Amino acid sequence: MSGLIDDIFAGLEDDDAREREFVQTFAALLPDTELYLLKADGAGLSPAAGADDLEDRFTRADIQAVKETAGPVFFTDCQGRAMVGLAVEELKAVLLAWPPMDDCQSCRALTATMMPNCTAHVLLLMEQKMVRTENEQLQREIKVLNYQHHELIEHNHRQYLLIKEKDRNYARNLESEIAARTEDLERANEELREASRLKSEFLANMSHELRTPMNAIIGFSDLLMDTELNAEQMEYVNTVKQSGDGLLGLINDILDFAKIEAGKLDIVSEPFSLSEIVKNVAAMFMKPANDKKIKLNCLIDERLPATFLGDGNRLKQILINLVGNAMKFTSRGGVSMTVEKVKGQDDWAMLRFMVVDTGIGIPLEQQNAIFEKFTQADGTITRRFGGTGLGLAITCQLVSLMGGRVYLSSVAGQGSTFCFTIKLRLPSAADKTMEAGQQSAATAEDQPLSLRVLLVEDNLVNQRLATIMLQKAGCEVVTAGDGRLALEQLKKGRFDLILMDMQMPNMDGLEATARIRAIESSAEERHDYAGLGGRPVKIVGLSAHARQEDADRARAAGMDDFLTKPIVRSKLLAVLAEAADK
Amino acid sequence: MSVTEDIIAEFKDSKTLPHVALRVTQMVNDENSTMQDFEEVIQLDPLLVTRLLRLVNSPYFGIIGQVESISKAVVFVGMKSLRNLVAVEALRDIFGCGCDSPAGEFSRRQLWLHSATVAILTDMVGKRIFGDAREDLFLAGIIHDVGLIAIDQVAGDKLRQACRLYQPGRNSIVECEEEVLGTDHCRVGYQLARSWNMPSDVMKAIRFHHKSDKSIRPESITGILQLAEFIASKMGYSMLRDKVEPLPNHLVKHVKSMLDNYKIIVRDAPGEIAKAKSFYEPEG
Repeated sequence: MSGLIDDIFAGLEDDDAREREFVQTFAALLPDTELYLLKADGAGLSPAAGADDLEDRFTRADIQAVKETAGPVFFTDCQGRAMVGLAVEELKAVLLAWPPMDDCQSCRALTATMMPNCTAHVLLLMEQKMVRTENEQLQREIKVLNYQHHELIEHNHRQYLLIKEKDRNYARNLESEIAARTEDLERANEELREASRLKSEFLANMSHELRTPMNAIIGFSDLLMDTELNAEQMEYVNTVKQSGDGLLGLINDILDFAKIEAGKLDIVSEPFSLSEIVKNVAAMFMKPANDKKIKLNCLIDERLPATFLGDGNRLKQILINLVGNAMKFTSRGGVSMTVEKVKGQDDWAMLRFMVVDTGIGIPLEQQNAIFEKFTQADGTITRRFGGTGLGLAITCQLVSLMGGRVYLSSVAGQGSTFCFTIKLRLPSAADKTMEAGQQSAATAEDQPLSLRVLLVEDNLVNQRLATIMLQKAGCEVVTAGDGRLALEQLKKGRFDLILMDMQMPNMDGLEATARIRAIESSAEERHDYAGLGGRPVKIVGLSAHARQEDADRARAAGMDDFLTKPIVRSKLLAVLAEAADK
Repeated sequence: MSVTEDIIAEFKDSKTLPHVALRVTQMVNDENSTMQDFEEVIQLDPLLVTRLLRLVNSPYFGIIGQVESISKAVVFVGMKSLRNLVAVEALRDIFGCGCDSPAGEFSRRQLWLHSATVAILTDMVGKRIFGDAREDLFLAGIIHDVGLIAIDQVAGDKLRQACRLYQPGRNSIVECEEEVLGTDHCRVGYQLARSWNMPSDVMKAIRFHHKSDKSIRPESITGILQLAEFIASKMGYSMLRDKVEPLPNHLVKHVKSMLDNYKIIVRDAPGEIAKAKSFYEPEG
């Protein structure tokens, strides 16, 4: 390898650089000794300049002897001076030395001893120089590596910070992204809610539009039945009345369903008599049962409390639906309705309602489907028995709003059992007295009432119908076509009761009512109105809208009561009786 | 168009530095790039990932334990070193395997051995003689003769003719190329490096590595590259087998003044080369 290294730099280095270095270093150790280095190629080197003549002072034979001897060799040069020769293997050369005091035996001996030692020493020094250079080089390399290492650590740290920052940004972006999406969704949701609200509105309006003519059809059929009719006429009127009732029921179903869908159907909690409801439902279906020649049984546990807190009307609707259904699909045997207490305590009772029929039954595979809206057990049912398929869906929804669930067990061809359990609260003592008062108000029937009534109604047909009903009850009726005309009437005279339609042109019922209440409370304005003053006049709102919020708005405007159209005679009479009491 | 541009235009149609290498070169200059970006880009070439990890795990880097991902490689050796390795792999592809050729003739295999050795020696001389920590030294070493590949691709016969004309000591390879081709590999390589957005020092080194001029300082990248090239050639890894260009005059004094240092480098070089054995093998 050292051959190769020397080869690479041959030409760059002086040929005898190493030898020169050796001789000079050696001379520094033994300054008083004359030195001559004889190289392999025969050329000689001496530390002192101009010492070229030295080569003539020894013989080849002597040099050969030195080369062949390991260690110092004594001899004398041609001038007779004592000299020492030593072969330096490392340089392939011979080193010759003339001791300073050649006559001194011990000096010569000393020189001879020192020569090998010094040679080794000088070679070592030269090697050491190389090692030092190498050391320097390694130091530089270590410094570079150290620097690079630090750079790397710093760079890695910077990257760490960058990555952290990127992550943070990413999280921030994600957050704002989510916020934007949420906003979008909320907006979409709001739009959907609005659409749903518009749908409910539309349904409410439709039901209003449908109820107004129904009001006339049912009302006038009622009135017609009170007149002298022959049997044939009576049958026709009956059919008209029944069809009207059926249609109204359908309209109510659709409206209920829309309300349930919109989550707007509220279950009220009022005292009601359970046995009354059950008896009513049974009474409703007694005639159809007789007509179909099937039995209708009604079993109610006698030990049940008389009054419960809950939504009596909706409960009745449920029972009507279930019993009606059972009746519809039963042609032999009978239908039975059972109410029993499952368990209960002082303030609540768990009741089980069961409607059992011996009708056509429902095949197992179709039992789930019948609870779906608009579905009946199979398409042919609609053709054979009619119906919209809404009834059972509404029933299930109502029951679930009351905290229960409808169960069905049925065997095709043998009959069906519909059953549900709900928990009802029992009224406290205070609730009971309130209910007693209400009952006494509702008992007034068929007593002639000589009241002066202002009927405010824009629809002429309805106006006429209500007028006849009121007159039949013994009242004196004055009519007005809208709110403004009603106020004109109030300037002229007093009334015991104002029946006020809600939707009217020019001035609607709510505005008119607010006006009346304002006039009543202002002595100055009251002056012009003969009909207002003293006790506030009783105002009862009339509306085809059967929604809870309509009733609330009526009361907020200052109305005392609220009747839905079509006007039910018994309810109207109750209102009249109450007015007469005061 | 000049001859240089002709050669580059034609060369680029056939082979160029892959997209990944270009992106990596860019990212090294971008303060905001991270190991994740590096990893993402390099992973576009799964074969490259394997090849790079093989180099990173070679004894040349002396990393204890296994580096099994590019992001970890960035952490251990740094982006610039990794960029150098991407260059090694990209150039290895461009150089192709080639086969041995008679002494004095041009061969791609000999050129690859030459380039890899010069890269290792450039790094050694930079660190050990000048205490220079620039990673660009290695890059300059590995890429300095890329112009020859372009010329070989486009005008192989003329290049061989120029190589035969070349007689060290009498004329220079650059002169011969100029005579036969009308351009030389320094100019072609410089233009290529420029189109690849290589660091400007590296471009300069490629441009002037055959120039003898007092203004070239020994400690400049060009100077260090010339020193490395001389040592590599003397050690048997010359560009053309058995044709050794003498040390440029402007560097003679410097080498003489630090002869011991250079002797030590020549003594240690075979060890370094052995550690970087995976750089020399034709394919990954």
